[in-house]
Amino acid sequence: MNGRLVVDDVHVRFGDVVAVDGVSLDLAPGEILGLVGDSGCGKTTLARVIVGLEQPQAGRVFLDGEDLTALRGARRREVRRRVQLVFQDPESSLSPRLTIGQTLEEPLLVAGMRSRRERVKRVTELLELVGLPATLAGRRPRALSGGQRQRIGIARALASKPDVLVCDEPVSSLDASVRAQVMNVLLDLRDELDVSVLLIAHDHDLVRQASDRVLAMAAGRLGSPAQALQRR
Amino acid sequence: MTLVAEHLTVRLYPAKGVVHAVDDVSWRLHAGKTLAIVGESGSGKTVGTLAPLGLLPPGVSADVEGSLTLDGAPPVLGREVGVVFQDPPSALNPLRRVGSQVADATGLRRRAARERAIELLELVGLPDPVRAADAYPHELSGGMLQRAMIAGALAGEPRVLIADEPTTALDPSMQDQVLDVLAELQARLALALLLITHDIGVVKRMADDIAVMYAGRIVEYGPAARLVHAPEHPYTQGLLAAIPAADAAPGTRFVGLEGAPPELTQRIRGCAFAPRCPLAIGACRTDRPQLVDGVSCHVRTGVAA
Repeated sequence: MNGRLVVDDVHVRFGDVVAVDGVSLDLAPGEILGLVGDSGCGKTTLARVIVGLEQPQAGRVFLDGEDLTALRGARRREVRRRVQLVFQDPESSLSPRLTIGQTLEEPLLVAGMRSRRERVKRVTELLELVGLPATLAGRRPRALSGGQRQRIGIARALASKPDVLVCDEPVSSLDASVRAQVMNVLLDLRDELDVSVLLIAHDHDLVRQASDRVLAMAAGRLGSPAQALQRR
Repeated sequence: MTLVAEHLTVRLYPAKGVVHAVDDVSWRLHAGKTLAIVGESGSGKTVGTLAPLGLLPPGVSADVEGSLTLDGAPPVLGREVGVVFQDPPSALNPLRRVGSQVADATGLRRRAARERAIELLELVGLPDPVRAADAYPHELSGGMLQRAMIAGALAGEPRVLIADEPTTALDPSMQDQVLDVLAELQARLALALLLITHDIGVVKRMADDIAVMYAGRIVEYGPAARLVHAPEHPYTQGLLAAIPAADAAPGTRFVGLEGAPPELTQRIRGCAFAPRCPLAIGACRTDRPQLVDGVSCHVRTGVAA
């Protein structure tokens, strides 16, 4: 099974600010690993390192044994495709000008899927995976509810058939009554696609319910979750 | 002292069209008590409270019907009713020291204003009020800024404090601090506290009474103890069930409501919750339910289908 993600002693500094201070973790294939921490603790920076949006000063990130931080060129693109990020705020991470179908086709085009028919078919599949009707493909983000938009964010991340999903506060911008819809989509995806999930959030109870294991982060370091949970 | 909302109805006019944001809402709040108005975004909880005080989102005009009165007269903003706005980092001016912004609210001048500002910052429990007064907003934590906002709202010695999502922008560890400060101030100053929030956790901890709003209407209203432990409206029940339990087994599916709240560009004929309601009957789609014994629901109050 694919999707073993290993983070080995990652350090990130921004000028004098130490954002991530020697973090190591291990995400097993098909596992949902929770990561909790207050804002400013470095959890988003860690997520950005894992998906390759940030280069660490030291440390490495392995996917199934391959060092993601050392890869270059075509091989990098190929392996990077397998680790995808779901953004916090679907409002600002979806283009208001593109239809949902166009948004979901974009990563397919990047991946070299030339046939329009194939792309349309895949878009329908992706919508189905996140529990949305195919008719939404013709709509724009404005016409969708917050929960639907976040499911589009997840569908877009799934377009390149990743082995690992990194979800950074996937429901914190949503209202309580619709959070469940999105969280259940994540649980279902793990069961159906065997995708591994790193679930990053500040809501301890929510993370604990969704995750097989929970880690806590504070001031750039991983701590015992028990300590962090106790403080609540 | 009683703050009374009677048949408040607010229609908003953004650049295009009309939004029926608040539709016939009534509640009352007594001295020393806390009323929590709970709802999701777009439920009208903020607009319904602030629009009658003349506070509106930028670029939006509004029609307000009904009344908001303090002992029979319209309340004076600042003097009788203080407002703590959500998201202090964006409510404060980043280029001015915190103390001088609090001082503005005192209506005093120069030295007297500064001294009063420092007193107020001390009142809200900032450990070093002089340093906080001289700091710029970016030099203080979110929790400290929120306390400075509370200090500003108290400057006019109001009898009612309205706090709009006071903890939403804060980390969990800071939320507790701010709630402690609010509870302590309320007890010390016999304040009536109107808490506007979507966070049921906050409500459970703070409220004497709860009004649950959905799509511009109050769907359930009553003592917190009853509402939290024996909610009757299907929406309230769904909202409470949606809180992740601290002891849920890992991998347990999440409980929530299907669908999303309705658009309010047209006035809704029946019960606004009917399209998402597991119990809805025929009457729910055609007749608007009235609040009877604290619940606005055809099924609960036994109207024939």
